[in-house]
Amino acid sequence: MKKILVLIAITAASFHSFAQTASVNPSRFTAEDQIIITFDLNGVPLGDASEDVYIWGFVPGCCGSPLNDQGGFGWTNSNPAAKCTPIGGKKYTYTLTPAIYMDKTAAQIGGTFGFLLKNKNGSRQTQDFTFPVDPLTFTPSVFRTFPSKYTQDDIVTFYMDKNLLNSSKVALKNATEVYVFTDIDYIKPDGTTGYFQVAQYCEPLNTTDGNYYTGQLTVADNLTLKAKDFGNGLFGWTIVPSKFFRIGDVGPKFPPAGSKITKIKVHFRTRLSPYCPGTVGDSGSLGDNFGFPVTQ
Amino acid sequence: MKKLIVTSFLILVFATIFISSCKKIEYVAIGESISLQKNLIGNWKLDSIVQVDQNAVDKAFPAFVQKLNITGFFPYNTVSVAFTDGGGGTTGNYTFANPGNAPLFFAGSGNWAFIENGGPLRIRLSSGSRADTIDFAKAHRITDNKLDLRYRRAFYTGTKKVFVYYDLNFSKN
Repeated sequence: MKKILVLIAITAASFHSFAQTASVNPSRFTAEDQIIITFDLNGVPLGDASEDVYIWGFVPGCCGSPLNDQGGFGWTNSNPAAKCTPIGGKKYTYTLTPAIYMDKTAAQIGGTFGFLLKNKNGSRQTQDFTFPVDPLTFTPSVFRTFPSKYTQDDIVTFYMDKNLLNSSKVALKNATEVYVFTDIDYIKPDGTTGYFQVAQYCEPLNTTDGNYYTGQLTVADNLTLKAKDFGNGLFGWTIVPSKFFRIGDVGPKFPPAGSKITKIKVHFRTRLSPYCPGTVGDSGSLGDNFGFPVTQ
Repeated sequence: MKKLIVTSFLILVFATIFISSCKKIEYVAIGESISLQKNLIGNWKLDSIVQVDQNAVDKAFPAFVQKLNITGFFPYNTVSVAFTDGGGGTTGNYTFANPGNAPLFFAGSGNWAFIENGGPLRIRLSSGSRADTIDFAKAHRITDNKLDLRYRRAFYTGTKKVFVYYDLNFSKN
């Protein structure tokens, strides 16, 4: 009986996970933040005599890091890229960004990230350490696009949230109809650059660059420039940039075929421009300028 | 006497288990099989189109910045498409009807063909030198009379990274 107990004790000891400490800096982080993990292995038989130690990361209930076991590596043969850096006093660090290290999105990683430390052949290891991962937060802004990335051939909605407008934008905050003034920077197939704008009729005329296009020859509203009222102060203007800015259309004013838009600027404003004689526009009628790099 | 009661009770228990274990289990009918290939051929009317920001999905942002139903933004309710079988059910011709000139992402007409390359079944739309690839967004039975296709826009910087996609939801015309 005694022998059996000794045998059980030896077997249990061989699988024992030693209790150590691990800390993360910063202590609160998202899946897209870089973190430094520090391990203190004092008092445990791991990392002695300059023994290399390796991180083994995972998302509980999901999966392990590709560094764990891809490329011919595995539990009994750790990846050198997973080797921790000794900083003295049996302490080790490893720097990673969870989303990159796990090759997962923040949504896939969820709320917990875990790891342990091990020797190269996996005969000894620490306990599992898990740390909470803060969610990425969407920050509301006066202006945004949907989707956040797009090409000039995608459908893009430019939004303005009146609730978040600066209080000085009195006319725009009170407007029930919102229009846009818009222009683009683009590169022609020959490598030269161009500029092209589309606006209501009552803009200060500047035709000297040959790229001016009103899209409207009367003072009447240009409905293609009217933003849609989505309710609760949210207005949006939807276009396919390459079509709206008439790339490849016949005419000297239009960007030639093959042109690539590099920036779109959309200015939200009240129905009537302050530049139009006799209109109700005031200093608050213009929305802030904002531009978007276009993904190609 | 006590032994007899216990024995009788045990016999009753085992008999009950035996009888109930022999009871025929009624399974619900499996029903019609799902075949992506067979479900493509036909005339389809576009019911809705939803744009999805993959970046917002990846970051688990709120739903209102992940998806946008853009059906009403352009005259998509006039869009329809016909997929004809060129023989064998794996290739054929397609033609979009788009009288309202709603923005689409492929040539109006051309050839279609299934492609797999070891991955999920996809559809290649070809017209002249232009070729676009679309996916089945959802599997339906033929009797569902529905077809859900997905068009993805991606970066190719070493690896493919989708940043926006469009789900086009059709019903049988």
